Amino acid sequence: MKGTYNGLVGPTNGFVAEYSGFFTLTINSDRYFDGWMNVGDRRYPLGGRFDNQGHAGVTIYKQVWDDCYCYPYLLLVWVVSLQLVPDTDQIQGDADNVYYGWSTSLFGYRAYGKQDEPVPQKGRYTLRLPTGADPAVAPSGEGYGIVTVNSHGRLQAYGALADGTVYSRSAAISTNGWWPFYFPLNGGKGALIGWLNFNAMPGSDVAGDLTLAKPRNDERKYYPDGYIGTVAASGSRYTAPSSSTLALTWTNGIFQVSGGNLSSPAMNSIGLLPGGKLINNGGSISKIKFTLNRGTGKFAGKFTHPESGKSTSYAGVLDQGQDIGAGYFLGSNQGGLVRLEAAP
Amino acid sequence: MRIRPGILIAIAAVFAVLIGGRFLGWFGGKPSEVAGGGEPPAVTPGGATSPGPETPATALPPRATPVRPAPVVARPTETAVVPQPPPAAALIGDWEERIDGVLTGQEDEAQKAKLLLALFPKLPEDGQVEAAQHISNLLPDEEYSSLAQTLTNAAMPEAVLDVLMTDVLNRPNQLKLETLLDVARMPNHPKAEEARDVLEVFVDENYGEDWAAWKTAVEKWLKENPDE
Repeated sequence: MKGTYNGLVGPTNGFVAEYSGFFTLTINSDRYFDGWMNVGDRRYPLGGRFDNQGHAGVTIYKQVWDDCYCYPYLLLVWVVSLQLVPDTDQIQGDADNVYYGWSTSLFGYRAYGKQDEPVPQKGRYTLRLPTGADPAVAPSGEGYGIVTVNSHGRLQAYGALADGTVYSRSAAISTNGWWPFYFPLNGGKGALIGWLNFNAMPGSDVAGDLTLAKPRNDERKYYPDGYIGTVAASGSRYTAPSSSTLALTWTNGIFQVSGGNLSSPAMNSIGLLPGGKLINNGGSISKIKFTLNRGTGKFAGKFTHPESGKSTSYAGVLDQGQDIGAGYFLGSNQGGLVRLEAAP
Repeated sequence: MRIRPGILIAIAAVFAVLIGGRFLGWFGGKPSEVAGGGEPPAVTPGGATSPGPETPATALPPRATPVRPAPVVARPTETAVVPQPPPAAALIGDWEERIDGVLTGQEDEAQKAKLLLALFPKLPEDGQVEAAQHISNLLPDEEYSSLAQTLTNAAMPEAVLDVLMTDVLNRPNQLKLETLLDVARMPNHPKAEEARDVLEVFVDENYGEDWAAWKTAVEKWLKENPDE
């Protein structure tokens, strides 16, 4: 029973961003536990003790003031029920928001502990977050992630979505290789949420489908109507090149941009030199600047937008498993895709 | 006003005792009130004081009140306001029981986290890692500054810093970026490069060693992207 558990919060019968989130808790040898759950951008403490059957209940109150702001009192907000599933590393539960009158569910796994080390997933990864969207509806580029798994199975991830929203999250990988990913957007009214798995899959070292929901926001420059869809996340182990080795296996390739207020894709011939330096060999895109962070695999730079003529920033990651680079840029009101790949 | 000779004699006697006591080292064993100055605490597990004759407390530099690290590149001893790793003799043997004792107490989460932070300097590395995990779980965002001081202590074992770096990534942007900036600007901090990589993604630029530019960029980013 002892160990750290983490997982996702969400309704079992459909996605609702405000009812979704992440939870983590650490159980000690006497079955006491502490942790927190993050639902809709709010963090709530979880604490208590599991009984012999692996069941625990948690009530969460918030302090409110009376009408004259004279006296505080406690208002019950959450009733959480947790159950450690016997003979498994699973935990599940329900969370009833008695304040607003809705319920959601929790599900998670036990994370790697000392007894499970060494952690086979230890290492650095780059993660691609493609939306595959029509640029008129949602950003069509690829968000990216830099992922580090330490020797204890703790995972840190940070990067940006294809609309430029930056994120950082951490979690603990479960003993069966699952990574619960949750990042709240727009104060919890939106989210990027789902499970990724580190077990070997063809073409990637970590993959999974994430739900991405961005709510309407009239003040937002890009896609103010909001959007919802699936991000087929995938990533590969990343080995940092030295100043004299190649970051990908090829040296002659193409730099291509599409979407992002371009009526048709634009392309340049490039050379990718040892250490990650890029040579622009010409094409329909001018003034390509490129910088690779050799340590993380993140690349970034600028190019002149072939149609608007504006200097445009882009960013992404190298995917050494697929031998490509992928990322995003933002046009005047649409997101676009950046790709680096071997010349055909 | 006239002072009675008896009072003058009494005052002189008190001063004599104080000065004599100082020379005799009576005040040399007073335990530090602020854990984690330049020297490790001298408190033994049993709570007895054990002043070392070579390092009397009166010879120590003044203890600083806990503050955020100054915005300059600084040696860890200058910014480390939370406990340095203690000498082996001061470590708690039954640390698991002590941590469990805090966790099973009646205090609220934030108070438990503070009790664990107070216990921190007396824990061996394994205990510090476990305590750091619980503190991360228990400490609300409003109280995060006390934990930030531990993360910005470059002398902490790397396994502890791993836990705290993992935690800070789930905190609100304001806490996260300001703490990461403090970590990044410490060249000998084991997590400095990692912190800088994260900051680079947020502010979309690498300012190298120009910490004023990093600070301006972080402040600008936070202003444009306030926590909701």
